[in-house]
Amino acid sequence: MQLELFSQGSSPVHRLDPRVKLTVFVPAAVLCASSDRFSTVITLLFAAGTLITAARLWSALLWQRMLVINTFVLFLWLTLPFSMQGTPVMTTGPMTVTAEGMMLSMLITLKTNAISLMTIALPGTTPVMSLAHALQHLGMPSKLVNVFYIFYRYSGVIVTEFETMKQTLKARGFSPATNMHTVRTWASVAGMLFIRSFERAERISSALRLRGFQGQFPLMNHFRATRRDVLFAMVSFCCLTILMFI
Amino acid sequence: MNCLEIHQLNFSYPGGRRVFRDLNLSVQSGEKAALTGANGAGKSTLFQLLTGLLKPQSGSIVAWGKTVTSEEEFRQMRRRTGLMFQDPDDQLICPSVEEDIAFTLLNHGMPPREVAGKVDEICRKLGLAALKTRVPFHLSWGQKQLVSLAGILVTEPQLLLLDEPTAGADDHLKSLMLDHLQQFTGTLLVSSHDSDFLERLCSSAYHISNGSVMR
Ligand SMILES: Nc1ncnc2c1ncn2[C@@H]1O[C@H](COP(=O)(O)OP(=O)(O)O)[C@@H](O)[C@H]1O
Ligand SMILES: [Mg+2]
Repeated sequence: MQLELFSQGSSPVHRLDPRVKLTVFVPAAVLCASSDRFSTVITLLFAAGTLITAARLWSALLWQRMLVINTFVLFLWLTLPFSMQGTPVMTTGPMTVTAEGMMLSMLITLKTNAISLMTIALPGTTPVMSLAHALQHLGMPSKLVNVFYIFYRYSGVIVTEFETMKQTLKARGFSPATNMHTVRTWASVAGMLFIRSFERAERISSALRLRGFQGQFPLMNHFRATRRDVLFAMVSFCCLTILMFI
Repeated sequence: MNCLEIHQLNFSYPGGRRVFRDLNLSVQSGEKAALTGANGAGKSTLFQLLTGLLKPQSGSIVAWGKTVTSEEEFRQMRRRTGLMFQDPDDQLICPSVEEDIAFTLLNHGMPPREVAGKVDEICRKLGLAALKTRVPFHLSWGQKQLVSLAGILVTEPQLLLLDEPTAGADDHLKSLMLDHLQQFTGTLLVSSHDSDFLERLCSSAYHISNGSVMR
């Protein structure tokens, strides 16, 4: 599952208390997204990189993820430097590259990479169930937490159902084209998928009632914040505060 | 004593046709009963009525000598009952096999340490020890069925309802399930189309047709 690609491991970062990871992650990401200073963003990028190192996550898989994210950033570079008002640095035909446009593109690139790395290093190193639990501990209503978790658990099942339906269509000689028949077929696939999901939801809710579900997922191993967790939280908050005010 | 009695039960789905008409059924404590019937006869519906997941239009359900009607009474009854769904994906909700097997016991408020012991024991019995930390969603169909069976047996139910446990199971899984179910000492009601499986497991049989049950 996409959300849990990096969640298994025994590094110090993987072993941090999920509540601590979330309380550090949210302000750090907000600060990074809202800052317009290169020094702040670069520091956060560096910090995120350090966390990834500590989590022992530099791998082909990680680079591949980052490549995907940066493909989107590439589109930004194709437009923003040409469309911003400001000091021209280069002119090619009717297009003018401005210094402001270049700077802004650079800033957004750094921000994107910093936040992506942070997301992988902190929430990404936590199994989804623990993440859901941490959210609950941090005061998120249990209904929302359950929606988040159950969506995660069953999205895979629904995708599998969709794949099976596509296979069936193929086996029955359907090949998509731009015509009314294709549109109608896809519409009925969507409808079927909707009905099946609805029926499954009813069965899951029955199963939960049978199994004594009380509205909250029970946890076998409860979180226990250690001295390491407290230290990590304190150091992170100090750094974030300093970054906010310098 | 009868473990389960159904008197004059009538049920139809909202807007659907009548599924049960004056249905009567009684199952003795310790009885191993087979439930047969064509597709759409109402086997799954009966299991849901018995556990209070669906409410009949009229009629009564008596479990262990007590009439169950209110949601609270059904909740108490469900604590002593295990129902295995046909599709294990409906039932396996936790992110790891171990947590899923523990789910019901934890919901019932058993201390985690005690739960862990019971989970270990049932995993050893059903040969699931190697799968404990796996994600249930990624298991094979047969493994999923075994895990959902484990999650039920671990609660030590007095009444076990199995809805087509043999659908999609291969011979190996069937004989594995037989081995464990034959050791089960409570009351058992199994629906299946596999007559060989039923013959080897059950001592009595009920057949649903046209909305009522025949012995
Ligand atoms: N949720 C539902 N809504 C309406 N009708 C249903 C629903 N579930 C089952 N039915 C109908 O009730 C009848 C009994 O179904 P079911 O109990 O699933 O049979 P079985 O398990 O014996 O195959 C069938 O005619 C089926 O179409
Ligand atoms: Mg059925």
